[in-house]
Amino acid sequence: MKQKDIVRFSKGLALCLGVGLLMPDSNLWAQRRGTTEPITSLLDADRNRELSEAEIDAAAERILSADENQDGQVTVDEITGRLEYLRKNKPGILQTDFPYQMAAIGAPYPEGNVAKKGMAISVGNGASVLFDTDLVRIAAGWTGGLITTTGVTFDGSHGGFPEISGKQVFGTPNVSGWADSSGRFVDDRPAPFGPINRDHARWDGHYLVGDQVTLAYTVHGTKVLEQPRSLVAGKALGFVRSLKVGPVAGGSAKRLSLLVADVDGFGGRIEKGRASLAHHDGGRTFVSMLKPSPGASLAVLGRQIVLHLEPNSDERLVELVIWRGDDDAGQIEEGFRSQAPGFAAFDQGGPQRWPDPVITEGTLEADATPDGAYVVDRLTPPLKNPWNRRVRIGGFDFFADGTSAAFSTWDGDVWLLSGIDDSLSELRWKRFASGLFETLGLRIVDEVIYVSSRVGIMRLHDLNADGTCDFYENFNNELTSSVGFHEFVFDLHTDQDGNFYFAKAGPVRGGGRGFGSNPNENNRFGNVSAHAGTVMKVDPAGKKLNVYATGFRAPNGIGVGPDGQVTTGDNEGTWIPACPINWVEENGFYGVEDLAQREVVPEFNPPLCWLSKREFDNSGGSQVWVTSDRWGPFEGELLHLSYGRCAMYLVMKQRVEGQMQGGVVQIPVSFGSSAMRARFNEKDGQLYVAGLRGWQTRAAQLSGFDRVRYTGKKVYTVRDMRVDSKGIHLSFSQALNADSAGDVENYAAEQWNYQRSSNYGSRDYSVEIEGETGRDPVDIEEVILSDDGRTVTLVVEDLKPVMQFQLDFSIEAADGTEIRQKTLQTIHSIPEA
Amino acid sequence: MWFRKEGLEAKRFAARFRLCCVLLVAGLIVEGDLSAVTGRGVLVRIDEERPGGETDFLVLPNFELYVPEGEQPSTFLSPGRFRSEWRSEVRVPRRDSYRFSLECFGTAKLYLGDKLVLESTGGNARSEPVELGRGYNAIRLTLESPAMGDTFVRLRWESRELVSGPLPERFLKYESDLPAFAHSQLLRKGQHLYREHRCGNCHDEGRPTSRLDRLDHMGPSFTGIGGRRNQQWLQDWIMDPDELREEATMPDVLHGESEKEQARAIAAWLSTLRVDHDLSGSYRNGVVDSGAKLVESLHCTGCHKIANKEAEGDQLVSLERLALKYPEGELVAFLLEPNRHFAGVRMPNFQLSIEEAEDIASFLIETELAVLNAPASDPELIQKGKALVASARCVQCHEVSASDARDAVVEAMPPIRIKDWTLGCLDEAKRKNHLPAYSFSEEGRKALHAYGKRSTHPKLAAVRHEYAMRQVERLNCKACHGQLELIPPVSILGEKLKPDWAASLLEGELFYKTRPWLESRMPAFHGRGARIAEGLSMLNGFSPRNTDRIGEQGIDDKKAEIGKQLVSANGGMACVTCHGVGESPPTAVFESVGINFGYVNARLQRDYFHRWILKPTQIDPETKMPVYFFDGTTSPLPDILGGDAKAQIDAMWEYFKQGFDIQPPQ
Repeated sequence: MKQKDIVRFSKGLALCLGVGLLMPDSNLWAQRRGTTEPITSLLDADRNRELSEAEIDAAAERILSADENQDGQVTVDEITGRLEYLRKNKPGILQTDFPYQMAAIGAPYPEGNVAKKGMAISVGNGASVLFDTDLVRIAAGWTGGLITTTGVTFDGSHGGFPEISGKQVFGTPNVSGWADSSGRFVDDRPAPFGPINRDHARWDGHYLVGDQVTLAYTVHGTKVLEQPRSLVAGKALGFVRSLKVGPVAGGSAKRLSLLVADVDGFGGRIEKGRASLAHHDGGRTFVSMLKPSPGASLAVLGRQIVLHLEPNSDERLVELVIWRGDDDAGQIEEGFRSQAPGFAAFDQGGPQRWPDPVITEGTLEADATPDGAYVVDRLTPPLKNPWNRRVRIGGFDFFADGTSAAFSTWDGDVWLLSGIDDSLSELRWKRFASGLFETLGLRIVDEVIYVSSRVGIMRLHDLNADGTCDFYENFNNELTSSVGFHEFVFDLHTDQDGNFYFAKAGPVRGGGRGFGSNPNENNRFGNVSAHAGTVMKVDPAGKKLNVYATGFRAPNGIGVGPDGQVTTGDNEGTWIPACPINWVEENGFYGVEDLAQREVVPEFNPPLCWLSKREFDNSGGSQVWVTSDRWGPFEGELLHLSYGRCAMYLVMKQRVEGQMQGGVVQIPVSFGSSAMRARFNEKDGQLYVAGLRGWQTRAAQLSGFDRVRYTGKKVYTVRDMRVDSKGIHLSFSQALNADSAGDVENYAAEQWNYQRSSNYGSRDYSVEIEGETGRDPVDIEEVILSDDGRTVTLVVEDLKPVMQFQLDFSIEAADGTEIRQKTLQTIHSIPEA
Repeated sequence: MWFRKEGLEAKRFAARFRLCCVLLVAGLIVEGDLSAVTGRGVLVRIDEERPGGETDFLVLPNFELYVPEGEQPSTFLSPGRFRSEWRSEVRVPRRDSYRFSLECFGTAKLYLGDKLVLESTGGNARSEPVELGRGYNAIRLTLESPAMGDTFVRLRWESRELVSGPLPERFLKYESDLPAFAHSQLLRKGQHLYREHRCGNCHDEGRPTSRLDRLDHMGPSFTGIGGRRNQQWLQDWIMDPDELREEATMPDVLHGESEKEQARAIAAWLSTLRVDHDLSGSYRNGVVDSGAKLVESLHCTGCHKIANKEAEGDQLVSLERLALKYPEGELVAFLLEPNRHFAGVRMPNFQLSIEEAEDIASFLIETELAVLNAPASDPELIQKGKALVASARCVQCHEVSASDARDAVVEAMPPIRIKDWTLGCLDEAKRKNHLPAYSFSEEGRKALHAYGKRSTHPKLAAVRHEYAMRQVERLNCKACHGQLELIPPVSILGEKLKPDWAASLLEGELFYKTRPWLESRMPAFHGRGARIAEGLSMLNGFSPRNTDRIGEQGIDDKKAEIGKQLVSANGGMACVTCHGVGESPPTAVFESVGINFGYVNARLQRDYFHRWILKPTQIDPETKMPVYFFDGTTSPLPDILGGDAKAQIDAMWEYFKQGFDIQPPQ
């Protein structure tokens, strides 16, 4: 190895040390808590920051010196490996003070091992385990770091997902962690996505007290609680699975069987109740019980070690320890047994994890509509916070008091906000929950927070009312998910009956086109599963999930009206020629043929309107119905948000022969970031809008939260739009000046179509000349003002159904106020006047 | 809507334009019955600023032009100061209020209808808001050269929808029934015919002196031609060039009963002219499907008629009989370096790899290419052919190497002064056997007569902005520019690109591709690229030389640091999501890769950069680049530089000045 390479490698090594990821076979957690191994003492740096060149140089020099490296801990291979690791990992992305992170997570062994809705849990002593919530199994145990930072919410990569980080000690294959009713460990799902049959095994959630995670699940009706931990005995590190198994449901005579470990080896044996299997490459995997438990026994079946639990009417505790070592295991086993931890309290809540709030100050009237009727107050999010968490708001809702709210972030945190008042002078942001899998929707029902996430809907409980979530309940996890980076689960709403609605994107490929991985791409982009590109409905009790409508590409935001009407936006792309506003009917199909989720692609339900990416929307957000009577003249109307354009539109609707059609006009206010989620606050009757900055948005700030407040002034806008054989009728919120509104010179119009295809989006196409790109100017022949002076009828030459009809006008109200607006509409059909 | 054709509007316009052209021609034929001419752009009348000075007319894309001191403002005027009057009508979709601004050297006045709205005597001037009505509004501008120095003008407009920028060509139309204008157009046509058919090679006093001149003067070299073309094809071509190519500029030089025998003799001699060169590439090695894909992505059908492909225009060069023309290996060799033996060839150099050239060749040929035949061996025939080449004066246009020329008089003859432009080659009634025959139309001959009446016959390249316009037509640049997605229209290139960078691009000297993900590629126009780049710059009212070098040498590090923050994802606009920065690739690009920031400073004009960042959709409505600055002034980041859009964009510019060594943000 050349000197230059050594220096380079050593620099990498030093950088690893700096980010706290290099340990002599593991003790990352110990290191985090201040225990230092000899080699880590080389550098006393903040492990969450990148090091300067000078620091790396200094560290490299020291590592290379014989004195520091005399025990030969650092080999060239190891440095090479660490460098590779470094390339995949960026500092400061993962939390170092929280014990788990949910994501799709892979492990090297057995081949193809991946928990698509996984939970990597730190169990102390630098050890971690991976819990697979779909298959209710511990998929892997390892020492080293937690997970790699590959992934869209971590290092931003489009394609790929994190893997366990460190040295794997044990693993289980992609089958159910608990045997089915016939005693087999199988994956009997119709396709390898989503949870296994709930009668077989169901993940119920997890508790958190301090750093102790308690997993809760049900196996064949029997409640099981599990506390993953670790113990150190001599040189061995043991993974402990403390299982509290409830009475067997219904007095079933059947035993429960748990697949503990799968070993690439042979020569299994049971010795003094201790199961072990020899690895092909040396050493053995041992599984032992820390204490004898009635009816519990270990068995070796082929290359797997299994725990059998005979039927028992009492609750019992079974504590397994798993370790890897050499043949002489008795002493180590004793060492573990002497430290048997028992089962810690879990369901009474724990100490406050984040007692200190981040306080920000809002800005009143940061923006206003030209007529002054609406002003925007900015509620500054805690973008700077002591935990360096990225606050990218993906969902929010208000508590009943109207002065406090909850927020979920794309990064999997939940924050609480209080101090929503007239002055916004002291906004107190407090962390509530963390570690979740891309929480892009939040709804509060009866003061309890529900979040939608990549695992499904979770219900968050604060058991001891101290402002920290202690029980993360699986409300419904039936949704299917592969590993695709683009399988976002968007938004969360309820209807008048309490049913929940949310949407899920398709597994778009890196760069934006197509869906799912090619076979030769190592599954980087995931697969189309049953719920890809659908809107889903879950009953109020969370028992059953149903697909409500299909064929969506990336509907980053939906709406549910007071009468239960579902709407969605979508994002231009494959099969989506332009962003639509969809008026969603149950069982409807909204365009993406790859995601039709039927055997035969059904007829396409056209949207209420299309939105041109140039002027209106390149990536849709949520819709919200105006449920307030204190928000100007729009009560009962629908608003649409544009995530891409960071804009808000009034949606004007007209039903013709059962089909909704209509268009939009902008309510011209600016937002702190994108406009992605919106709700009315029942307390103050005002509209609140939140958004984040991902990609394909003009948002400049990472996240924003704004209040669009009605000032009581007159609103000057078009507020209704209808079309019939006489022309296009625009109704305004104020009477118009007859000279100005009646002058055809003040109006301009153009029209065009799109081509719906498997291409990414569509160009604008002439209506008159087939195949020509571009827009057609439209001659407005005459403008007729109604008797009440509030409606103009535009008589248009050769008016016909068209995907886009855009009007641009600058007129005056009767009192001289300028009304300068653009409307865009879709005309599916033109009824007789 | 710069970046695409205009659909219906374009069609309607084209139809009207064609009609007008027809009317113009008809008008010229029946003198005294001139109809009004309309067209896209601005009609400019230019008068020499001297007693008894001459007048000329130009049609320019918009209200922009730059004329360096001491240069001709137009082909038919002398260098020196000038006065000009610009007329056009601008179309707006509805009544609205606009403001105009003028930048100029000299004195410029702007009139709407008859009303003076703006006046400038150098520097910048901005009008009060003025109302434009729906439809067309007459605009008139006058520009006079300053007492000394360069002359230029750039007219800008702005409204509440538009950030300040040039009036797009597609919104402008001119109309004229002035006989003087029609005459100036006729003169230009004459000039183009004269130069295109290389009349000057026999009739001008001078021989080409510059490299650029040679492009226009010389046809394909005879050196090695016997190896490059099949002998039979040479014979057919010499016999009757029009038969093989409709728009052939090569005249028919052989007449009479023996012309076939003469053609055979000339082809025989030419077939003996061979030189060794690398012919390792062959269509036989190519992959037809790959070739088809390349033909598609390089948009060959913009200029060529290809079998089984829909033709796109009227004047396409057919590629349907390649097998007759090229021996095996020569088609690939031509594709690799089209200008190797013919510097003035219109086909540009796509800088293909040998594999790509083989793929394209394999797709294009329909029947197998013949292996090159042995050269003719009949010494008598060969000698006859050589003598004919001398007597037919082929070498006026074709280069013959000294070794090939030995034993024969093949030197160029002294120029023949034209006394009467209705006689000689142009005498349709009495064709003379010893003269070349051209198939000029009636209209063409009239144009040549008019041109011939002038005392001087200027070369095409003399006036750079006119040269650029002419080359854009000749080289069919608009087959791609303004037609294909992501390829900008020609009319903005001069305001967008720094002229020396554009020159490098056009000359094929850039060592990188700014948008490597695009399948299309900009070909090289060796020899004329730099001149075109200069002309395009002048057409947009910018100096033909890079101007912003002056005062741009230093980098204001403090500003640059702010610029770096502005493009970052931490506290900035996250431009790095889609744009690479030097060695650092884009972080999360999705359907919208942006150009690496390392290229910005070398490539873009500062003024354009500002306008692009402020409102990219105004320049390219289909761009995926977001508009960050609402209403053209407000930054979404109010805490940086007071939220001042201009200051923030300046800071980015300062940062991008780091060029290829740009340091990416953390």
